Amino acid sequence: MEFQRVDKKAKTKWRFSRIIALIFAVIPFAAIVLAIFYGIGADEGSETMKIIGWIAAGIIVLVQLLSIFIYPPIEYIQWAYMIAPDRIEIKKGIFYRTHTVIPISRIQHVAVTQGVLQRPFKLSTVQIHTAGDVMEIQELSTDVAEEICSRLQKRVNVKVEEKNAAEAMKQSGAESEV
Amino acid sequence: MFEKRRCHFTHIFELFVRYIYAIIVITFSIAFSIAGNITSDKELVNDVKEASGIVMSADSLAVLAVVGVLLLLSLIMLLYCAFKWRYTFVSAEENTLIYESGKFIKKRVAIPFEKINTIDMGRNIFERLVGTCRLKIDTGAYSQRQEKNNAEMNLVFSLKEAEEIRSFILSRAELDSRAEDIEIGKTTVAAREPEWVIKAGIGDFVLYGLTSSSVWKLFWIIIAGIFFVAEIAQGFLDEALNLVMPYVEWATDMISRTSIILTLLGMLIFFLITALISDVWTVIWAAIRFYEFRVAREGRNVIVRYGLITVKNYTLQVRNIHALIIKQNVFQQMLGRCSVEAVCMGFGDEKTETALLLPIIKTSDLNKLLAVILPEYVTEMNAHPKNKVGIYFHVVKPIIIWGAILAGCCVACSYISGVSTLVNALALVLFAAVIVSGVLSYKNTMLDWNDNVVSVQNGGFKKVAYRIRSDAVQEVQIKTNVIKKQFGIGSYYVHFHGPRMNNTSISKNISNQFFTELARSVED
Repeated sequence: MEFQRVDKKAKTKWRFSRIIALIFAVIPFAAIVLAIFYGIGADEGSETMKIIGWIAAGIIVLVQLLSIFIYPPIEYIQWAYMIAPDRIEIKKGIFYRTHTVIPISRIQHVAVTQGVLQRPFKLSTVQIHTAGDVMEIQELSTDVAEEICSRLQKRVNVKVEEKNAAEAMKQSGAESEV
Repeated sequence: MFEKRRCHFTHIFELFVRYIYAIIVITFSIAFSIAGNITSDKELVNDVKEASGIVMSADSLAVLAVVGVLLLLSLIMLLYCAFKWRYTFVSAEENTLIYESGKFIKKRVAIPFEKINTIDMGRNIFERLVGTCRLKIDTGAYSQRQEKNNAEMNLVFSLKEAEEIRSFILSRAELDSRAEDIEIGKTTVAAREPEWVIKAGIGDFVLYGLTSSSVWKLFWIIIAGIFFVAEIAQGFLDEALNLVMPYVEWATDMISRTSIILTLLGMLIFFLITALISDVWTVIWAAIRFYEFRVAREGRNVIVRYGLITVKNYTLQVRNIHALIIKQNVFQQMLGRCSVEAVCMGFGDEKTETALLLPIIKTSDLNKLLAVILPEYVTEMNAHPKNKVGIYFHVVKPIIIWGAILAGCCVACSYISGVSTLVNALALVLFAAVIVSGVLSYKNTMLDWNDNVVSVQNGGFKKVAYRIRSDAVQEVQIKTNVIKKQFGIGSYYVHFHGPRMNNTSISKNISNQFFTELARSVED
C-alpha cells in the first residue's frame, strides 16, 4: 500500500482559512501588542520600546504570512495517510512530524464531519474514534471521505468477526484439550 | 436473584452528617471571605463591631429564633435523608442488577452483571462503629457528568449483607464464562479467606514514608497555612510584621555578607528539617492508611484489602486491568523499591482513587510477586539498544537551555544588591538538579514489547514504567522534528484504553527504527 495525499484543494482551503484568521485574529492581536508596547514607551518616554513593539507585531504577522504563502505546499507534500488491510497510518506536521498507527481492530466508530470553511471547497474530515481518543484525517474530498468511512466500517466488521471466530476457535481448542 | 433491599438504616444519619458538614464548610467559607473583605477596611471593622454589639445586647428572643430556625432546618434535612433512604432500593433479576431511587423523581438503573467491572467495599470510621459497609459498583462507562456521579451504585449495607451481595454479583459476573463454578463460587468466596500474597509490615511503611517525597507538599502546606493565618488575622499582621521585620533584615543582611557555601548549607539544613518532619508525618499517615495491606489472586479476580480507620476492600477483575504503572521516585530508585498501581476499567475514575496493587516492594521482587498476582504482566525490561544520540536531547539540550535561563537570571539579579548571593546559590542548586535529572531520564528511558505486554518507561527523578496489555493499546505514535530526524530518533507515544480519557505513555528520544516493529506487534 502506498501513502496517499489529501485533496489538492486543501492548499487553497488552508490559504483561505488562514487569510481569514489573519484579518480577524492575527492583525488585531498584533495591534494590541503594538499598543501595549507604545503604552510602556510613552510611560518611560523612550523610543526603544516602540521599536521592540514594531518588531514583535511584525514577527506575529510574518509567521501568519509564512503559513499562508510558504507552508501549504510543504504541508501538502508531508501530510499523508494510508489505509492498509490491518491498520491506518497518518503522517502530519511541518517541523514537528507525527506518525500515527491505529490497528483496524481498535476502531470504535468512524465519522465524517464538514466545517463551514470546508463546505465551499467540498472537503471533509474523517474522524476515527478509538476507545478514549480521536484521530483525524483532514481535508479529503467529501466523496473520498465517505468512501473511506464506509470501507473502514466494513473492514472493522470483518476484522471483529475474524477476531471473534479466532477466539471461539481458541476456546473450543482449550476445552477439547481439557 | 434477590428481592428489593434497602440500605442499612444508619445510612440516614451518615447522609445527615455529610449534609450538615457540607453546609458548615460552605457557611464558614462564605463567612471567612466576607470577614476577610471587611477586615481589610478599618472603618468597616468598627462598624461591624458596633453592629455585632447591637446583636449581642438585643433581645435573647432573636437568638432563640435563629437557633429555632437552624433546628427546624436540620429536622427537615433529617426527614429528607430518611425519605431518600426509604425510597432507595437495590434488587437483582435474572442477569441484571437494578438500582431504584426517588419517589417523585424516579431513577432506575439496570446494570447487566457481566458489565460490572469493579466491586469496592470500603468502611470509614462511622461505618465501622455501627457495623456497616459501603458497597460501590462500577461499570466503567464514560458519562457526561462523570465529575458528579462516579460509581454507578454507592450504597451502605450491614457487613454481612454487603458480603452476600458481593459474592452474589461475583458469581453472576462470571456466569457466561464459568457456568459450572457458580455453586462453588457462591459458597467459597464468602467463606474462605483468600491466600494473601503480600502482607505489608511496619518496616515497609517506615521505608515508604522515608522515600515518599512529600517534602514539597509540606512546603506548600506551610506556605498556605501562613497565608491562611494572614487572611483571618489581618489585624495582627501589622504587629507581627513589626516584630519579625528586624529578624528578616538581619537574615538578609547575613545572607548578603556570608559566602555562597554557607547559604547553600543553610538551605540544605532547612530542606532536611522539612524533609524530616514530612517523613515522620508520612510514616504515620502511611501506617494508618495502608494498615495490613494484603493482595491476593483468586480465579479471575485480584483482591486488595487495607486500612486501619477507613478499611478498603476492592475486587479487580483481571480482564479489566489494562495496564500496570510502576512508580519510583529518586529515593526509591536509590533504595531499589517501587510501588505498583493498576489501570483498571471502572476503577480510579474518581480523582482521589487509585487502584494501588503493591504500595512498596523491592524492585528485584517485582516479577516474582507479579507471577503470582498477574502473571500476564511479567516481563524482563530488556531495553532495545539505545541510540547514544539520545544523550544530546536528554542531557545536553536541557543543560544549554536551563544554563542560559539561569545565567540570565543571575546576571539580571546581580544589579540588585543583597539578593545576588541567594539567587546564585539557587541557580547552582537548580543547575545541578537539571544535570542529574537529565542523566537519570536518559538512563530510565526504555521501550520494549513482547506478545502480551508493551513496556514504556520514562522520567528522571520520578521514574514511571508502564506495562500495557497489547490489546489495550489503541494507537502508537512517533513524533520527530527536523533535527531529531537527522539523528534518527523520535519520541514514542503509546495510547491505551483506561478509565479516564487520553491515557498516554511516552518514551522520549529513542531510535526511530523500532516503530514499524512496535506497530506490528500491537496489531495482533
